[in-house]
Amino acid sequence: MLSVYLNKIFSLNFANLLNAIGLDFEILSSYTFIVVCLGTMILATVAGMVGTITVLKGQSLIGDAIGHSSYPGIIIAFMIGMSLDSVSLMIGAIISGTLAFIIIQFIDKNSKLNLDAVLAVILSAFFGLGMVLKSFIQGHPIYGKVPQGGLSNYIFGQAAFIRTIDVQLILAVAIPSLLILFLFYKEFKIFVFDEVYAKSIGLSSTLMYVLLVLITMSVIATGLKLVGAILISSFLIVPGITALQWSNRFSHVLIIAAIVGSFSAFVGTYISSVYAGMSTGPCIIVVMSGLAFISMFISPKGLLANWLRRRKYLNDLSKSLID
Amino acid sequence: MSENIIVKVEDLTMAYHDKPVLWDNDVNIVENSRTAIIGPNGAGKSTLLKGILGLQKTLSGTVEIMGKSVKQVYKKIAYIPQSNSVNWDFPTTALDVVLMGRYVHLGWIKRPKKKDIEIARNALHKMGMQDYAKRQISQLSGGQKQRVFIARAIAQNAEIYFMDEPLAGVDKNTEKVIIDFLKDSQKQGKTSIVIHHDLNTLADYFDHLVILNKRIIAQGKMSETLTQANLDAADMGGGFTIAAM
Amino acid sequence: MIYQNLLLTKISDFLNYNQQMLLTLIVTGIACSILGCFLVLNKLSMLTDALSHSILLGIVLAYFVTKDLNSPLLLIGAGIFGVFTVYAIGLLSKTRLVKNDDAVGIIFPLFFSLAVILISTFARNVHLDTDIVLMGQVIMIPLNNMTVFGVELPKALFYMLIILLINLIFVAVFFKELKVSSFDPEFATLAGFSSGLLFYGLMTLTSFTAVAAFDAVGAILVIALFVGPAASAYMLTKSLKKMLLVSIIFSMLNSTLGFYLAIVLNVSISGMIAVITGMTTFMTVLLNRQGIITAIYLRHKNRKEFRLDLLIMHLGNHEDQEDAEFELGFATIKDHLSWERETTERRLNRLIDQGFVQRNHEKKIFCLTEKGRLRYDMIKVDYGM
Ligand SMILES: Nc1ncnc2c1ncn2[C@@H]1O[C@H](COP(=O)(O)OP(=O)(O)O)[C@@H](O)[C@H]1O
Ligand SMILES: [Mg+2]
Repeated sequence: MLSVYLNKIFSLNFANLLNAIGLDFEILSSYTFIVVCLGTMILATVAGMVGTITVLKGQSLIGDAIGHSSYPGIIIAFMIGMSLDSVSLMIGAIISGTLAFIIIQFIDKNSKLNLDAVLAVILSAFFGLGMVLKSFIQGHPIYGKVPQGGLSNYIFGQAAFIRTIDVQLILAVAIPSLLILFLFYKEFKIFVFDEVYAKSIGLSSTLMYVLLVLITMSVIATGLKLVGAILISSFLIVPGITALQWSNRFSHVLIIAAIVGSFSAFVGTYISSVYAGMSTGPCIIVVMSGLAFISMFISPKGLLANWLRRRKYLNDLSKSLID
Repeated sequence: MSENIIVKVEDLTMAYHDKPVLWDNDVNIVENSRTAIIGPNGAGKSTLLKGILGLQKTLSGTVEIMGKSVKQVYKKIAYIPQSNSVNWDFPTTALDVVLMGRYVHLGWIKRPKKKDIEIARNALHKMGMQDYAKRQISQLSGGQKQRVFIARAIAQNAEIYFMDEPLAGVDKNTEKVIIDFLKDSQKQGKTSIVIHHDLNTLADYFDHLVILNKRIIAQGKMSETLTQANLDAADMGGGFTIAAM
Repeated sequence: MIYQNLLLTKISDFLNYNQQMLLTLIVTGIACSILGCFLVLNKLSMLTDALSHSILLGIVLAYFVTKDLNSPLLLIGAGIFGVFTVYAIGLLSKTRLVKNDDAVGIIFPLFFSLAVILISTFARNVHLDTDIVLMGQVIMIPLNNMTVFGVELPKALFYMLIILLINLIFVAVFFKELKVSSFDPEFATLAGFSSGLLFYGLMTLTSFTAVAAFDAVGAILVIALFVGPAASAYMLTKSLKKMLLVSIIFSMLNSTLGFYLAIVLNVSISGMIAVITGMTTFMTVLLNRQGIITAIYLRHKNRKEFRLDLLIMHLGNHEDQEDAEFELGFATIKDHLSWERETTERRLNRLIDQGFVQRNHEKKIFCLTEKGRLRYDMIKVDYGM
């Protein structure tokens, strides 16, 4: 009896342990899964942290507009380079995203239009341009000869197809971005909290904007291949929004956003690997948004806590009235 | 009795989109004074402060602070902007905000040290806010918020304070704390320049006065400057008479 | 049979395929832009982005119920779901846990993701192509016909005509209320129009318009059609009626231009119209009467005069003061106004030519002439001092 039991314990290896908590070891240890998972997790970590600043600056929808606007840059980069090389497509995305950002700022400053109208028009015009160019190269005598199947991946993302080189590219963007965020942590903090005061103590807000746009753009551009132009904005803003429910300290919010991002990326990637046909990006976003909604309910600032507080207050009030 | 001029503004003209807001103004702020700036709404009071501090482009004129340009002395200046410039949703505590006052001495990249945190705590204490150090900034009342911003200025350890309507929308208690602080700073040799809106308390709280309405109407010692004629000239005469004082 | 055929009017007898497509596009554009005007005025433009993406989930869910991709119930289901999206966004931002923009930014990618997942797992055998959802298939419009009251016409055209009619009636009936609530929502509530009701009325129509339009032209162009012409009209007009009219003109122009360019270049029609819409909006930003180019011109002209005025002010202010001799010397003027030596000389010379200023050779200073003094007083009045 005892020997059987002992035997069972010793045979409990790592794989069984994972199986026991419902994870499939075979999937977890497959090379493809590891590559995809690393890619999405690193991306989501950086995007979550950088995006927190975007959210706090009240610019959550700008990320969406820029995500859509990077699409024509990808097609143009393809037309120039005649290849699906990740790096050149990424540079194309950065250029057209930045151009869109500059035009948005320009119109916002120089017309009486509201920012959201500007975003809507620029977003559709740029994405429309992408559609025009894409239809132009389809069946074109020159461009048509080069395989271009990979291009549509940049609209919805195709995380399942990423290679080691893509993960390296993500790292190449992630490390400098995180470094900038870490080094200029104090400067970003005061720039987001009180821009006028920041200026008065000699901090150049132009420089801060340039840094912020630079890292946001590169995160968006690397994320396109994994998540796509339509959905990349979620990676930026949802972890930040979630983290803001949990803490009142900027440093903690950044860390929570990173954790929420990478955890969602892991779970989302796992789910999409288990159920064939599910795309990775959307799965991650569903997990992320789920966490956001749960946080809004159960966090210390959340709906539940508010409700309990109000009930306690009313109880105390009625008690004191009775006394 | 000659007084030292600590802030010297000459021929300052400022405009938004080439619509002049301030026209060719000379302002002299006396060292170690408590100077109030008054004027009707839209007179350009906030703009004047921004111009002096180099936060907004000027069309003409020169500004000297302690005989130097602002860029050379910004560490010695603490500015408390009108509170609407602040992002209230930002996740940060009262102590953290006060600590921001130390950033000016830290330079790029460097982090605040123990000593800085100590200074920040003392500053909060001076404003009677030590019990709120860990409180999220948006969960404080209007008066408490203002005290935190004054504490930030204290932590900055500046020589000159520029404050844009610090008493707007604060409780009586906070008002007293702030004015006591100004008087205390004066004893330590510091200078404050404060945009003020309440004519009734003006003479009690400050000893020098600048009256502004696009142009400088008058400036100098409170007793000599606060006259009915000057107020009338600034379109501020209505509803208030000096005779009552 | 023959009898029936005689009664049947075919729209293809009058309009070729291209003309049918263009007509459908123009009708769609007008239906969108009249609602778009109110969206732009109420700062709701990005809701069209949210709607046009989340409608996909509505279609998928409705498909699970109807099991028929051609059922009109699909469109009705999607329309209702669009209203629900707006409601969900409103509910989320009412909790005050997130800002309104954040609420928009969370909800619609979530709905879009859910739709993509549902399509890829449960509806893979169904032809519901996510590419087409974004890009639309304008080319297919004339191939999908239906017969109504003895007229055979493209289905999309028929739906859009109905929607246009409903939108026109809505705007005509509630014109006064819409106007008040767009310009002053607080007043509207006080005056007894429930702006909440009006808001959901507007959003219901926007949602159904988006669904019908999206079926024909795709999600991206829907956004452009709603916001672009309305934004241009907003910059050009001062009254709501004119704004509506101008937005319709812009919309027709954009559709026609974009359509023919796309046909000539053989590229995506939806994409081209979106591009043209963006360009006309950008041109309006540049060229409208308070636009950038006008502003730059006026600024340049004003700046010149303004500098001269400034110089006169400086001279006038210091003339009677004790330090006049110091303040009015060339070097001091140059330093105080922080101008270059040559610019200062040029401006002083111009004022001397115009007879406002004279040189006092003895004291080496500049003073105002009689004419200059008058100008000085005028400037003071002009700038309200
Ligand atoms: N950023 C700005 N852009 C355009 N005009 C401005 C801006 N800020 C202030 N103004 C205008 O400048 C004038 C002076 O403003 P301000 O200095 O804020 O006055 P005060 O502080 O005395 O009330 C006002 O007429 C105001 O409308
Ligand atoms: Mg002010």
